[in-house]
Amino acid sequence: MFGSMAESTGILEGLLHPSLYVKTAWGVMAFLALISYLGTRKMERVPRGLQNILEMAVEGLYNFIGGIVGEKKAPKYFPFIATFFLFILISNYIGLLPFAGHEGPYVPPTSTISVTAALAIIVFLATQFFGIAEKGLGYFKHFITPFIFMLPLNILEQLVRPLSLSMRLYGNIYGHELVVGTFMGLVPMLIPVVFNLLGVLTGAIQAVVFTLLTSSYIGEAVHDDHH
Amino acid sequence: MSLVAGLIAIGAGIAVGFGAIGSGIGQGIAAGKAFEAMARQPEVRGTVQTFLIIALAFMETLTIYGLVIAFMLLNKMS
Amino acid sequence: MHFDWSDFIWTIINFFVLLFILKTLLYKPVLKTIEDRKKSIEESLEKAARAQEEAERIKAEYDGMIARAREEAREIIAKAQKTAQAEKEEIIATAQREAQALLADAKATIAQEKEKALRELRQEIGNLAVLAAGKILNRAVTLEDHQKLVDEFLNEVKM
Repeated sequence: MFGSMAESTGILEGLLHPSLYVKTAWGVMAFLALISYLGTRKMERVPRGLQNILEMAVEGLYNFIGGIVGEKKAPKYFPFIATFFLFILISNYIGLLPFAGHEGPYVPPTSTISVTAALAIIVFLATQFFGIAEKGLGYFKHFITPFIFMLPLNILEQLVRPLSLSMRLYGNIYGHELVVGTFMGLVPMLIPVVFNLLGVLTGAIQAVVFTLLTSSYIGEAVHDDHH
Repeated sequence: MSLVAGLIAIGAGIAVGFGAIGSGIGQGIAAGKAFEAMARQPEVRGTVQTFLIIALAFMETLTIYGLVIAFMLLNKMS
Repeated sequence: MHFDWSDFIWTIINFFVLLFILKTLLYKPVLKTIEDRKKSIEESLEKAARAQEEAERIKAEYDGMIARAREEAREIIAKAQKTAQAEKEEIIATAQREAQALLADAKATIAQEKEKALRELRQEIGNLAVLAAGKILNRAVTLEDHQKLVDEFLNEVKM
């Protein structure tokens, strides 16, 4: 899996020639930026059209994340967590567009372990960072509760989280893509439609699950134990 | 070489298959219980549905882990 | 499954760029608008509550005023009725008094008239009696006699 570490000379080469995943991710970013720009260009007291949709989305996300992280911490961590959701959701839905595929004009960025691992690592590092920033050395107290022997287990738990987070997202999206591709080869009519409908569900659920877990990890790290 | 490749293919199949058994049973139990809950208290249907879908996604992930292992094994094959 | 470090690094860069873009373009303006709207709704509700309170206060004030006015009106009516009653009684009393005075006057006048009439009647009767007597005596009675006779008769009558 990490075997390509040996090709370290290839990294710079790869950075200069971004893959289809990265290019599609740029497309996703451009799309998000565009609708954000169009929707918030002229903010009105009485929302209509795109502004209404964006407001509903942002408010829904805010309440969802706030419900897990906590009302007080929500304004601080909302932008960070919501960005994961929007990026993953739109990325997953790229796979539902016609002609999407590894050779096609675009491919869901979340269907490669490199992208999902990067997202999971960001979550992992950010969780530690937010925890220390919020509570100082007190953050490490929860590693040794209820007693010191739990330390290895707790550290292991922290390390397993990014692994499961990245594998879950990658496996679901790539697996779905593979299943659709296989059935497309077997029965090109009707059956792929069913799987695409399932893909709508999977894409949204995986984005929600990733966001839910990220929120709960961060919420747990920054939670005040004073009460 | 072909023996190794065959063993790897069997391993990949087992990874997905056994992974699917566990999460299949788990999902069945969860869905059944959720329907029971909905039948008993239809007014909490929406909440139960949401949590059911999230729980199913988590269980599904266990099979997906098997699938990922299968991919890794198939990568080894070539 | 192939792990690509350049994809990994690009994704990290992409994520933070996207975080920045969405923060400036999406989250900040939308959350600000929602917050503003919430604040304005709260303000309006507060204003409405205040207006309601004010209205209730004014209503209570007016109710008090009306009650007071009604009380006053009742007092005025009562007073007016009392005054009217007193005036009525006075008027009646005055009228009665006047009527009595008139009656007394009339009675006095009548008595006077009667007296006068009686006196005249007596005179006349005397005259007639003398005339009758004269006729009977078959001769004219002189004026002095006449008067004397009348007076005598009258004196007799008066007796």
